[in-house]
Amino acid sequence: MSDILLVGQPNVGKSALFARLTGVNVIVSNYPGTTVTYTEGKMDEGERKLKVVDAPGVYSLEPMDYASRVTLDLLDEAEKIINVIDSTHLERNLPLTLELKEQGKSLVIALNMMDEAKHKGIDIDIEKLEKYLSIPVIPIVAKTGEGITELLEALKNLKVKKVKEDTSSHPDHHPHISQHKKIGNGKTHKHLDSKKVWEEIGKIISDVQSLKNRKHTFLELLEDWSIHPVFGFFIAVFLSIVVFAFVRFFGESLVYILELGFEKFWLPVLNLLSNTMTEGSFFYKVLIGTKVDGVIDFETSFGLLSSGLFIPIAVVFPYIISFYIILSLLEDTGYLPRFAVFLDSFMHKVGLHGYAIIPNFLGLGCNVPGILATRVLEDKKQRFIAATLISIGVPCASLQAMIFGLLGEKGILPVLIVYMTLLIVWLVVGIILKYIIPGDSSELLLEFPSYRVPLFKNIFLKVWSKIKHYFVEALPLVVVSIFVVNILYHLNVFNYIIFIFKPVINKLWGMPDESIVPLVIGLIRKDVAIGMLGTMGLSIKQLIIGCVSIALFFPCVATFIVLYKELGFKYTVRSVIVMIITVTLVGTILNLIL
Amino acid sequence: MDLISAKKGEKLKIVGLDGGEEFIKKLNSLGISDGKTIIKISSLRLKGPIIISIDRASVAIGRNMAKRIIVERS
Repeated sequence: MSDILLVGQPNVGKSALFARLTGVNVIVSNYPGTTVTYTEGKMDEGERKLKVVDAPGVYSLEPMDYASRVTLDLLDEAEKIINVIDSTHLERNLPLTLELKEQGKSLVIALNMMDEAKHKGIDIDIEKLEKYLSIPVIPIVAKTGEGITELLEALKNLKVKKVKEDTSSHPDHHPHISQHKKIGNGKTHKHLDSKKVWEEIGKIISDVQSLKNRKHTFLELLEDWSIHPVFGFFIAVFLSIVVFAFVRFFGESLVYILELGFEKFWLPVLNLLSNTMTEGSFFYKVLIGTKVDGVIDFETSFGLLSSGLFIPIAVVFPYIISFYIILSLLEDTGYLPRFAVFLDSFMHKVGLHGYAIIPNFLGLGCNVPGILATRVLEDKKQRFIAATLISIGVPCASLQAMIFGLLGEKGILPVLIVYMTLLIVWLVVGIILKYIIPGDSSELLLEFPSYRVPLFKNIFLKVWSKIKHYFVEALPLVVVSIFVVNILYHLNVFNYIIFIFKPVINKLWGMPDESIVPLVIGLIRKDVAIGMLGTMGLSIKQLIIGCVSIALFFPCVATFIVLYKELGFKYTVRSVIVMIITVTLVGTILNLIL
Repeated sequence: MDLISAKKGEKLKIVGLDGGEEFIKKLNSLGISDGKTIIKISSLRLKGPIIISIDRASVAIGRNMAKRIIVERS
């Protein structure tokens, strides 16, 4: 139950308005499908506290994908509704408005992005529009807060209507759900006839909106170029290289600085501490770890205060920052959907369509948001394939940082082999799943957002929220996993696990017995797992097989939880079976051919 | 003719959507419906999507969908 619900088409700025109303920082981007689940917040109205809910965007009141089903359920429980409209595309937003009006709910329209409309030479007669719709229309700019006071005033004056329940057919069902069910029987439903709707909208638009002719802005020219069959392709390739180069260069420089800081300031402290303790005792092992050639080594000593701090802060963190800076920029400019269309035919090979590149791309940062973002895909088959591919073949930023850290010093070739292997596995598993999972895959259909210059504040907030998330949620797990390793070693538990998995690890993969330990730890944190590989004195070939199998094998615990939540029991089991088969085969193949 | 064989840059009128109810609803939700005027602006290589301009917005349509959108020169 919400007092105020924000409803609108994708990418009209609902989340930006939500942030304005509630002060809650939510993730705002410039592509359809940023919000795949709802967010709640509180807002003051006099002494009353109102519950405000930000819903995922929908084009119409038809349940097309998972995200829109969320919105439809929210709609029934809402008292007042703000219909957020992108005023630069009024005619495209009105069908939803007419549908909302038909539901008989208390409604106010927030005509967002008025600044942009003005800039594009679009003039909207607010009063006339209000008359046509008989709904209050308030022009706003959510980004800057313009018009918010007027919007609040209009909300306050809005009477809560009692919706007449259509009790004749399904007393307990939502009006639109029951309508939806009738479709199959060929009966009429309450949805408006599309031809009539467009005729009505045409009439409204020609009376309410006037366009001034003017030259294309530079951003609009860029929009045209980036979907051009030839130029657009080169822009896509060029930007991919820029992204990769930025993440590498920025990440690497930060690693270098932080490493220096650790050597200079933290090592002396650790050495002092080390002198007061007995080397080899349980506490020494847990806190400082094992000395390498008589000195504490940040990468391989593996105590809580040595590697336990060094790995997450100096190795992984730099790549988290650099990845999310570039991702936020890409998200906010509006480029991602354009990138997606160039990969459409490629993604079809794995039973997906172009837009599925966005969840996969997010997965390169962290698999969790990647898998959540598969909600933008329409059918179960595609969601299963995408989520499985992400959790198997898409290495997250932490994992990649460690792979670079471990293999990078052995040259570019080993790193390349790991990446190529993951890409091939992603592709092959995808192709196989496309054929063995029943059902058709739906096609790409998407509206491009206008290009916008990213706001520094928004980029900063996004990167900041990722950093915070990393330190609050991921870092404790790193510490826990290092702690668990030490405890399990101490209790000799690994001997039993080794006994069970010896045939696979030893015979098929050609890895030493104890490499089962990082695989097990990979269930908690994959970066720590790769770090452990580095302590085992493995050959380059073994390191490659180790990295690949940790990446492919079971997702980390956080990913596993969302996988289960998103796919349900049956599909998660299938996903896990695919994983186990894949990792066993790929490890063996690498052992044979390398 | 279908949207794939239509020429780039031409003003087109949609005269039919050849598919089931789901298909039609999906297209309708993005404003692609019978009687509307569109411009085909791009057709991506390697069987990539078709991009059209409709109501001053650009929409990308997968090829299998595009070939079921019937248009005529307007």
